[in-house]
Amino acid sequence: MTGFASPDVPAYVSYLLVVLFGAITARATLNDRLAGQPDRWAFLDTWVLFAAHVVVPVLLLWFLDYTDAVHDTSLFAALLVAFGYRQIFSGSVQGIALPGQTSALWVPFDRWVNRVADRIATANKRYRDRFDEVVRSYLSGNAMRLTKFETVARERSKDEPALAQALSTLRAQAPPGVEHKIADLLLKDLRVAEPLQYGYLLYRRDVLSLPMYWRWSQTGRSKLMTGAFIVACVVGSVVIWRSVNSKEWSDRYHQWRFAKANATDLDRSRSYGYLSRRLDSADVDGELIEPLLRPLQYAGITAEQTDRVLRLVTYHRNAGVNRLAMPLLVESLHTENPDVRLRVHQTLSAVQAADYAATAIPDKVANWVPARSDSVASVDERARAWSDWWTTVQKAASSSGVKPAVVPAAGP
Amino acid sequence: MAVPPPQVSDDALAVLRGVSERAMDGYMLQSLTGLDPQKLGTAVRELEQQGLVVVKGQSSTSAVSEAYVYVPPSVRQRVAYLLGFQVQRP
Repeated sequence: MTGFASPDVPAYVSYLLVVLFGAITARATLNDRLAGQPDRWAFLDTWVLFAAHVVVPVLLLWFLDYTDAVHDTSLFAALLVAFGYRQIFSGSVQGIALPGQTSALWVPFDRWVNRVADRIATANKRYRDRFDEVVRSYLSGNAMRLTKFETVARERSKDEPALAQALSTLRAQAPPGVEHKIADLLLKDLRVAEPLQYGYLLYRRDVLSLPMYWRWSQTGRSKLMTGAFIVACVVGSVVIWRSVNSKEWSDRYHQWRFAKANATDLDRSRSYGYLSRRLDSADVDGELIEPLLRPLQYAGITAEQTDRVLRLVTYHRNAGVNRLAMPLLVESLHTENPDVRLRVHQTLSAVQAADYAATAIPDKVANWVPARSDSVASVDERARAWSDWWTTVQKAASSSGVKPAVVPAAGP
Repeated sequence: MAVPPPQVSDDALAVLRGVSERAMDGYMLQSLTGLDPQKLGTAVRELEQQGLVVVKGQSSTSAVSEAYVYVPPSVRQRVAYLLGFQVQRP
């Protein structure tokens, strides 16, 4: 899948598409699994299942990207995961293989879904029984209404003489709560005769009020819950958008994408462009610079990643960037990775020569070529020398009241 | 070795066919299969004993109309096999 030609879109677009289409797939999946249970969307458990079915493809896309099976910026991969995550788990999608025994995770998930689905079926039955009882009480509570109801039921009955006989017997016996028993008898008979339309018939014949018909026969509670969920989603989306659509969140997003080892060139280029603009702007702060340079202290960073970071802070250096970046670069000389140490040292030397030539660096640093054989003490000594030099530069700048001149460099 | 298909009565088969795709209440099953509550209750109990359906509510004659009957996902393949087998049976 990594070699599959697909439009490359920003990662947040991919994940958004997975959420959107995952929600559509989740709704269809649950409608199929809970088919025949009219009030299925009226229960919290159903919404828990829905949320789980939306979250699973999002996690799967992240995991597939993490394991290099697909890129999370691939439009086709996002759509494939959103619509076909179950097939991916079962291993029936060519070109996308889950590593190790990961696909076995689907089995406990499916078992959990079955258990929750069974709970929903029980809740649905309980809810229908309670509401049927409410309707029976409503129908039997008014003599005129009960008469109308009897007319409809007898009209539609499949065995009207038997129904009439049963009603006569009941009225003759007149047990306690006879009206309720009559309503129950009529309702059962009508539901056998018109299993789908009984609610509508009662509403059309003015036996049921519109609110009761809507709640009882038109799954009103399900619709209310769905409506409330949609409103909550819209409000939540607006709140999230307003908090995410800020410089801080954009910074974090692009820092993540820029540092990501397996990002696509296009994705990295987008983040490089954003970060370049941020570094060139007047309001650069440690929150922006530090996460970019911190990986230089990790021994496992690759030469490619190292160059990428150093290129960014070198090409887009200015007084503000240097003030924040130079101490971090000096600190990263302590890394266990000698290759990174060499590249950082060369960068520091280049910046000194270009921007701070007036303040010479000590000989022990100027003549230093970092190597694998450098002892910890030797590295620390050179790092301190660089640190002292930078302190001198800063002091000179503050005493003169003039910021050291920095010539803006061209981009890559 | 081929596993022999479970033996179910014609009434139970009609009920199973009705609920193979979606859950149904007893009223709908009566309308669909033409069974009276007594026969429907017998058929539903037969299917329930074989583990082919789950019944929410009671399968007694007096209450089966109100019950919800559905095929659990774990036996869907078995039910499909059974229905396929029964369709092919002369």
